[in-house]
Amino acid sequence: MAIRLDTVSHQYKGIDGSIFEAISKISLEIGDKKEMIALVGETGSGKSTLVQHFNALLTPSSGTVEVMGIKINQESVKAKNFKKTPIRQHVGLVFQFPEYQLFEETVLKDVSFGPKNMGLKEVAAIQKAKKALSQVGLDESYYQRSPFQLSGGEKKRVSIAGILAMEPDILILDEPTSGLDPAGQKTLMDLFLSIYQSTQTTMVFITHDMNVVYRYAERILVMHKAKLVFDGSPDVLYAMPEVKTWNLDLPDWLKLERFVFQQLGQEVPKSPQSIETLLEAINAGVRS
Amino acid sequence: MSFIEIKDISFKYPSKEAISHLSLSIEKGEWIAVVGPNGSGKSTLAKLIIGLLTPQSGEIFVEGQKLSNDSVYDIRQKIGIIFQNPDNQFVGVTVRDDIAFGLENLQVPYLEMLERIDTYAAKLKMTEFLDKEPSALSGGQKQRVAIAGALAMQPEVMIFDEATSMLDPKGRLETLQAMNELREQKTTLLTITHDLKEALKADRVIVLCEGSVLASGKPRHILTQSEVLKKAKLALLEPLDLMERMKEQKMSTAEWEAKLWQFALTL
Repeated sequence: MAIRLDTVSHQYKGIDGSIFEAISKISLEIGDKKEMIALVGETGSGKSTLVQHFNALLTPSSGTVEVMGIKINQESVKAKNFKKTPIRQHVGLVFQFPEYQLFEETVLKDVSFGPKNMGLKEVAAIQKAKKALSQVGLDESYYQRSPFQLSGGEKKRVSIAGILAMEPDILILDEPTSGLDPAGQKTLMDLFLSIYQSTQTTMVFITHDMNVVYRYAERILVMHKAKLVFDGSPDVLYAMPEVKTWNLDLPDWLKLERFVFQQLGQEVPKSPQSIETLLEAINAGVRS
Repeated sequence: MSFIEIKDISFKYPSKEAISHLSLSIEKGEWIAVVGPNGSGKSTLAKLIIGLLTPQSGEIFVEGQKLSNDSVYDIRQKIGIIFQNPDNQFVGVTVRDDIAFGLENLQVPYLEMLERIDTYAAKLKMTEFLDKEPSALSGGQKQRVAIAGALAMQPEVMIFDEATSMLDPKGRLETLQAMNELREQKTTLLTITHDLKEALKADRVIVLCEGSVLASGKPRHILTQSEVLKKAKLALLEPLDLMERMKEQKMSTAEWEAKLWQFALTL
């Protein structure tokens, strides 16, 4: 098992001493076999807090997180020989707006920082950085450029390469496409998909955009008021009436499908249809 | 002269040209949506209208008054602006303080200030949050506070610069509702967005591309043209894509077109 959470809760203390429970008694497993997982839920539902437990950035207030066999709980982190570095190597976390965290003079230096920090020699680190840059579609003409002079989309790619260079088994992306236009969003998500297809990396991405979920996710986790309320396949989720209670939207395409079949006075098919099927159904409906 | 008159403006950043010979007239009470890819000059246009940037050539008039160093503060009182990230625009410790901030700057008398805070908080359904810290609010609530703060200054124009793009579906819907209410009250609206579902609801859509106007017209006319959208790196909304495919296959009817358009407006 790559990641296992056993009744994990996390509480933040306010300045006035009040306690706020960001995630509450969450249990879930992410297996060794790669998966493309979407994590959704309204603002403040606990999504970011949850993923920060996946790479030991946060220690659970109660419960246990296990990453690649390493246990993380209030007890274990007190042990003298407890190290977080191997966990970070297994699980890479890309924050929202990672481009704000670029800091080196050149793209190549910035991307090789992670592997160097893991203890790799300069030459090996640079090799990993070059590979990661090519994975995100940036060729050698970018190596010596300053990261600060790149466009928003390019900066995002550089910062993602910085994480990829550490060759994580699991890549977590916190709202990876925010701030990009629709074309930029699609390019970046397609890039993640191609990395997913060509490696053994599991991807977990946080998003508000159910159209992105519809296009890319194989498994969906739904957070609602600090609890994990759904963990399963997209088609099951879309058919659930609770979708509204959880303040999720349905993908536009599914809404359109439902609308068209309702207009035709026909039953809405259980599985998603193609535009061709929709056209045929309308054509048949208009003729009859 | 129109309410806002933009005449042949150009603006260059040191590294690139952002706006190139752009002209645009906005009528009072009109809702204009500006769409276009990143780097098309959308946000630069908003900054030029409120005088945060000065065009290198061309002129901008607001209610007949030419935008200049002397008039910029007068003109800014007529224009409220809401930015993308609600977290970057709070100054007050509480929601009430935050709305009061702009009014204090305008030197609105104390009693009137209290009255305006209550009025605009109520209008945006934020009354129960007046004594909360802005950081305790959800994204949609934060945008509503920002809108209440801007509206309390009683502007004649409201600009929304990607105001819904960082919000969750509920926050997005709340902000869109606020825009709809403003439209009903005849506030002039300029919304900058790459969400075509938002642009659909406007009176007029302007497609910006590389700093100039690529197309301008009613949403029904502009947002159904896949070629125009493609040039601006945008794609047809799904119901409108279906509409186009039906036209191609000569199976489109006026009834279905109307239905799909109405449906698109609900997205």
